[in-house]
Amino acid sequence: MSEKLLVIEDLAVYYFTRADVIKAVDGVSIEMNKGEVLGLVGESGCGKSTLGYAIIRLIPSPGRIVSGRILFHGENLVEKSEEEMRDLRGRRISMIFQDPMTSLNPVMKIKDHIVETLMVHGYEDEQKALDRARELVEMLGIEPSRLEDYPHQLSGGMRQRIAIALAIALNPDLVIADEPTTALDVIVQAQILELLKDLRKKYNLSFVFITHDLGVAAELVDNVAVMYCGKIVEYASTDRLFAEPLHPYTRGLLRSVPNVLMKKWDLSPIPGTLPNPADPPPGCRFHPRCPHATDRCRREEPKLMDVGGTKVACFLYR
Amino acid sequence: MEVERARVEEPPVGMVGLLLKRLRKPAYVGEYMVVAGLALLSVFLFLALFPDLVAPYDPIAIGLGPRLAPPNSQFIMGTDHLGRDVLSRVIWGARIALLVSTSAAVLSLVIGAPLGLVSGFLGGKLDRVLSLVMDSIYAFPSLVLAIAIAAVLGPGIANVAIAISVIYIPTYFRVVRGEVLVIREQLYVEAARAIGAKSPTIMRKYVLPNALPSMIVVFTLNVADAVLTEAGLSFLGLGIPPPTPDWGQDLQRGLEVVLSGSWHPIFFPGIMIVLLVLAFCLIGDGLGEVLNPRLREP
Repeated sequence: MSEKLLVIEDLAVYYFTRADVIKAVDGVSIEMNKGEVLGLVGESGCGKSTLGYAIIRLIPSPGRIVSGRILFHGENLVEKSEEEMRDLRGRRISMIFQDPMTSLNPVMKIKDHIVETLMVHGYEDEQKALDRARELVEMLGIEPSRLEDYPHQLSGGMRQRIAIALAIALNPDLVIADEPTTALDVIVQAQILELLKDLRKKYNLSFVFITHDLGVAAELVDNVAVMYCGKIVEYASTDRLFAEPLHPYTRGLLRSVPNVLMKKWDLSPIPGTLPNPADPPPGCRFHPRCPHATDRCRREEPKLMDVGGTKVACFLYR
Repeated sequence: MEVERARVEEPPVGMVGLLLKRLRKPAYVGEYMVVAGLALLSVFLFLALFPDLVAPYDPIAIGLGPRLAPPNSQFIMGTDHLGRDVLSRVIWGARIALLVSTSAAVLSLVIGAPLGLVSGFLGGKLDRVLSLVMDSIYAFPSLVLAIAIAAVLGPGIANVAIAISVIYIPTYFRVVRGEVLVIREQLYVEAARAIGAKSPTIMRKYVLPNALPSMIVVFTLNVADAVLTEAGLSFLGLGIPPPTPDWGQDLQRGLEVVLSGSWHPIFFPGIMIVLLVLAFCLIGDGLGEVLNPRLREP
């Protein structure tokens, strides 16, 4: 079997506020191959973005990686110095942010954004960098003349294309996309997804795709990890997950999304709300909202178990 | 893939270009204020640059006319207690006023802004210490502090500029630091980190340019304040040594004779101070409105 691109082992990221310790990511393990698109799915606050930021080591203060390993090409990113990480960022691991309206510097021209990215990582000749910038934006469906524009002169979709251009400018091994389509309207969303699919095919890019939108995930993603309150509750290939969701939370998520094929409008939201990640419930963290909760669920924490190809953390399947 | 062709706006001309373009056809109060302020200031600039072209007499020549002659056709603003031409002194005084106030404001900008930038961006102990130092300077009554520093340094153009600049350093520090605290949380700073940019690069290219608009506004308002402080120091005899024409100094001499009924030696320098301060205030307040659309009245 080929070497894994990314292996996350038992990662825990906590936010240390004055009052509480918020366990945003609490014992997560994931594996990813080169060329794979891994989806991280879950409600707001489930820790999926924190996990994404942890991989590129940009967890906002007061967050810290408490334990675990992030092996990228076999190298542990958790032990890397800030200097070493800086060299990796943008060149081998890059990031696309949620809001293209604010992820570009308002006083910098588009071309300077791209040239800057290239020059940070070894391009010495500005003309060469400019040529590459032109090639990049053209590839992403933007007229090279727009390189002279400032961010506010571009539409949201165009800005997100530029953000994608920045992320793939140096052919990174891994792109972390933090809800890259959430802030866009539906048509632009579809275009951006199409673009990401294209790029992926052409350049064999690997993505960690963070989203709360199962529909978006289904479009692009090979494997899905469903997160709930800092933990992965189900981890399967996209096809399997949608065909046969196992975890009650995943089923609940799928039931709460409208579907054009639905005969009647029977959306059923998951009752209750996300527990406080500073004080998660004992046992299975989903048990207060779970229709199948038993005494065991309240006492004991289920581990991820392989059930016919799907990994699921639930006592229903033992 | 289809190329997006929609143009959202006209081609860019940069921030300064955009500003100039807008000011050519002022549309609301703020822009009119800037235009009026610039017009007034350009008059003063002309006086300061070419006083010899405008001033009818030598400003330091004693006994040109009778002592304390009221305004007349020969001496439009009259003469002072030494028989010097008030008009000529007032014109030459613009040079000192502008020179001292702008160099003081530039000096404090050059020192205060980078300190605020670094302090706000890096935070931590450095920020604590710098903020404490700056707050203690700021808490001091500014004119008293300027007097103390000027008294230690002694009179002279450079010394007055230094004394004034010290009291404005905290203003830049606080404004820039406050802006930086907001800017450093912006997504584009995060994005700059995500491409692997170093902190100095992020400060120079991402944070500083975005803090610039407020720095410009504070600068103009500071120059206005510096004009007053300079006049104040000279009035107290701590500023520019005589016989160099200086408004503050002339006010002080004029004060001695105003009770005997000679109003003109004190009136005209006073008016000049008011107008120059007004010019800078108009520019500063107007720019504040132009650069910050949220301040604009509906």
